[in-house]
Amino acid sequence: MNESTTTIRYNDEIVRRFTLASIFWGVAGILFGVFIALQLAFPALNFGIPYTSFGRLRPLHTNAAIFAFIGNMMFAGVYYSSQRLLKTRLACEFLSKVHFWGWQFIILLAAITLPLGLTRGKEYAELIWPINILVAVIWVVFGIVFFTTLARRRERSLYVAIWFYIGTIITVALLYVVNHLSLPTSLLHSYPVFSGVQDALVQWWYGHNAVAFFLTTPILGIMYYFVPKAVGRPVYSYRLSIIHFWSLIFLYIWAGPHHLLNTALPSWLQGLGMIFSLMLWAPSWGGMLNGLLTLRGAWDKLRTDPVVKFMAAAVTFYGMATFEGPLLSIKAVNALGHYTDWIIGHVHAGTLGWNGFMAAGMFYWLVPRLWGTKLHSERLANLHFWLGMIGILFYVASMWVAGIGQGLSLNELTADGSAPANTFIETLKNIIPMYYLRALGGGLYLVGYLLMVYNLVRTIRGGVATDGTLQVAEAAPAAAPAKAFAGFLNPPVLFTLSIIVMVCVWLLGQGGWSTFGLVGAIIATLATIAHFELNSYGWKQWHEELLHNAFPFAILSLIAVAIGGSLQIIPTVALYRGDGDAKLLEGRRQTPYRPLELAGRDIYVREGCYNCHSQMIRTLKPDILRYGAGQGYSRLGESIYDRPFQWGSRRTGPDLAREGLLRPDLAWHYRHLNNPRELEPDSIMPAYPWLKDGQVDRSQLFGKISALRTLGVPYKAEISTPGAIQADYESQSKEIAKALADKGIKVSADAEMVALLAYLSRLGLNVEPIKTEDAR
Amino acid sequence: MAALALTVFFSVLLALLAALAFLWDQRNRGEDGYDRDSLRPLDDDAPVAPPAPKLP
Repeated sequence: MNESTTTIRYNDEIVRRFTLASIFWGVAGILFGVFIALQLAFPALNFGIPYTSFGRLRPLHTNAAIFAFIGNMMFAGVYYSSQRLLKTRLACEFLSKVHFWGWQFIILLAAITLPLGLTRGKEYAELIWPINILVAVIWVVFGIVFFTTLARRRERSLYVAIWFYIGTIITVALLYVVNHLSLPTSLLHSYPVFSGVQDALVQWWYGHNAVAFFLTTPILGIMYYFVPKAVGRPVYSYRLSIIHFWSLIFLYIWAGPHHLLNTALPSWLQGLGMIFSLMLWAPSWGGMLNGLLTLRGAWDKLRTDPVVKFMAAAVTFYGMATFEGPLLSIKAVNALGHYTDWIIGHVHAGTLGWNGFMAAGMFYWLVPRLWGTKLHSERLANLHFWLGMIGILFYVASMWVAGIGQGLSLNELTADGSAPANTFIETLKNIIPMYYLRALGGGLYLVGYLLMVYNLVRTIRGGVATDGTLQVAEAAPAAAPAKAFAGFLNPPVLFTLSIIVMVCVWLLGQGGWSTFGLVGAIIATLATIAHFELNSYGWKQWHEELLHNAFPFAILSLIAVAIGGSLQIIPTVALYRGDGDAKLLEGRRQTPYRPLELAGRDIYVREGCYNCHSQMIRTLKPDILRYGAGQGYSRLGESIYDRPFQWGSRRTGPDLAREGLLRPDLAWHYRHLNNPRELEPDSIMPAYPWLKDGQVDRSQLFGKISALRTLGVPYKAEISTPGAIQADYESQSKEIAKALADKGIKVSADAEMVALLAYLSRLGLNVEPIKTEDAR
Repeated sequence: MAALALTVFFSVLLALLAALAFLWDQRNRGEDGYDRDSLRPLDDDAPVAPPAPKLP
């Protein structure tokens, strides 16, 4: 029988736009990276002006690299492959344009606000609250376009790449919303809803999974589509991809606490973070092997085809980074590597190697097809590959040496074990040569990338925008179920859901409910096994049935990722509170900042000091001896009201948790902030001369303190009125200005510098001991 | 001691799971060594498995 056919024209215009945007923002992201790498080697490059200081530009680099470069690349890859895998044109054409322009507008707003110091002070979550809302809206638009396309598909079964896209869209929405819950104090400023340890946990649940679900899962989906296309071979193992997907999304979400090992984070969370990180080894390497073994029988293309070269190297870097990540999550290894450049090296093996090379491979494959031509120059692409590869090796190797070297030096104690053997600045001085090499590595990578830009521009100029087409049977029925919930009414979905429900009752229920849940889970599992063993269609159909029902598949993905986050975050939010148990707060509780100190803290956050300074003395002897000021490690209660928490992730400079105890000299801090190299010739800290001229906007303080009171910070009512706030501000600022004047430093009491000094000199002193009976 | 026990436990568990995954994967392979399910087409110009080599 002859069927009449119709031609689908894919919407490749949107793919072209996202591709070009990614290529453009990639230059910006890498350029900022090289620039801030040079700033660490040559601090004069901070230029003594606020907009170019390291603390403000580093978030610009990370946001540009993650959300602008890789974000746009991901959207291009998702839209291109989804249309072809689902055999339908992209739905909602107008919304896809809203998605594109909305995302570019967000990037533009980020590029303006971050150098202005408008930040939430949380890594990869710096953008201010109005932009957060815009991001959430645009992400929902992306979700609508994707899921509507899914619903209109002509291909009944969902290919593995689509699973990863579904997992990405759902999980990123979940992560982003929870970590950006804030209470605004003005149009440009807000405080996070969570504080202290809660904020730390939520931030790294988000931060780690931004890597997992923004930089990894969508790129894995892209790998599963583009690698088989590039090498002309089917994916190595379909079954391995099932294991890869479900175990990866389930395990990844638990691993966030490995960013907080040996800190005040409760040990049960640290244990979970470490164990789940170690377990991640298996699915990550399963995925890597599945990607690499897809080249089976086509290894010769590695010699000739730059696309295959980039993709194979990218998958190899994925394997390397996912080996190193679990390794660094072992508490003993983390004690050495955390807060050092080893982490920076690890992260860049992932972003430059896995993400950057995957992006390059995809662009070299995609651009000639999108413009209906051939790649301008394979030789240039090969040169790009080798420049990029050598650049990454310089970068990663130098950071390994710097990180491990500095970690060892910082942990070294004197012969009697009573004090650190080296000063912080000595350890820093030793690794500066590595910073030159890092900048060189980044520079080589940038040159390679620019070659790609030239090559692709020439390719585009030699071609004409071309949309892909597909002949399909005219009467092809829509694959989506007729009724919204019909997809749930099949054995795999029902059995899976019943097992999950019973396990949740077992884990979360009390007493009899818990037993009921356990028995129910066992019965549901046995019933599932019996059903699939006794029925002719068997286990193979289990997952196949799921793949025909996108909605329940998405719900199950959501459950898989929600379990880990919920079991970590809900108890933490419920138990570890400022008004909580003295034992859980470890016998110490933070006292609220005075108005001037609060203003200083907001300046500290604005200048991005957290990018280089931690405020967390770990439970390690070298940390305690170096930073403890006789008070031991940082207790959980000491930062319980901090919004945002400032535990940090890197110590380019020393820890500041007890700076007020270690270095109470205000005049020293003034001179140091004004010009660090006047006091410490080997310092690489930027100078902050503008702080002595800038004036604090005191009108904001009442709103800020009111917001903090609403969030539970115990400011007493009588000192929270506008009049009391101003009076207290005035008295403390005059006191500090006078103390400085006594040492020959003239500065206005309203200067931002005074507020920052008030904050720094308070660190470590704003703590009170609490006993069990004082709590609650 | 606890760390060693945990390491051994998880290593054995991991090895068992990896072995199960391997067996599950192998059960789905044809004589040509290709995973039957992975041969489903990605899209219309998708790669397919090259023909199995013929014995002389």
